[in-house]
Amino acid sequence: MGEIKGIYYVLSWIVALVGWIVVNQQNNRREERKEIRSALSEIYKIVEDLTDKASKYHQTESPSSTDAAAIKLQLQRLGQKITHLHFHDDTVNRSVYELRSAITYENFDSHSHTAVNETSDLVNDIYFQAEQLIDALEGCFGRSYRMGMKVRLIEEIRRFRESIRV
Amino acid sequence: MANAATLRVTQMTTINLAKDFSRYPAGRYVDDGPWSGQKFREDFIIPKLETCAHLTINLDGTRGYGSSFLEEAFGGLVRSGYSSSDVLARIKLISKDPTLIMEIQDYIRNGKPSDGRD
Repeated sequence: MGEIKGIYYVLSWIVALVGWIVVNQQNNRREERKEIRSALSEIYKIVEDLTDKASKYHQTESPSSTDAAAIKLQLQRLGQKITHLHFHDDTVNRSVYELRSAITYENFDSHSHTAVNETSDLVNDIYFQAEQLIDALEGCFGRSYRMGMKVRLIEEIRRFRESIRV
Repeated sequence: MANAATLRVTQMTTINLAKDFSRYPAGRYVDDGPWSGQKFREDFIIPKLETCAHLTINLDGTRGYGSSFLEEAFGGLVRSGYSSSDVLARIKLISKDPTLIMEIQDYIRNGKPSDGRD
């Protein structure tokens, strides 16, 4: 009888401990999701500001080197903020680089700069790449925090493996 | 054009772009400014590639990069006569920003033309 009581005693502690771990993990997960969502909102504001500045830069007849420097610095900050999310996702990384490329590959920091109009391919491409980046970030967020347990688990394993590779 | 196999000197050297070149790299050609991609390639990367088997370039510490600078500095190596595989094998890039490394490696692999995108 004493042995059975002992087993119940141990089992109840195990159940309580497992319950605490699960609840704690879920709470941490919820907090993490809020933090990432907040960080993403900040990133989207930066992207919006950046695309506006870049669009104006390319539509200006003779933009200053200060404007170009500000855009490059903001692109760098954007990259850093996204890196800090630890998504370790090639689609997101490629979208950051494609946005940088859309803004600064041609007609930028150039002695032969020419103003383009707002319907030009160059300006359209900037807005398109900005949308692609936001879409890639939302995709990553969705896989990590909105999908079912199986998808989330696969995503966690992938992120863990990528973080080791980096 | 020296490659790793023909070089007698086999040491590795490092360029810290922000310290050795400029914290404000900008522009594609020399005409675009004093710290252009062309200048970095011609005065820093190529001389090192001619004497060293392996080169490490640390990209951290600058105030941001434009793609025109990156493409001319690194993609320009392929146009200068180096093979993509040789450049990728001999140059190691260091950056906190993985997107920069991805972009540079794409420019080296694809050798995009300098007069426009795709």
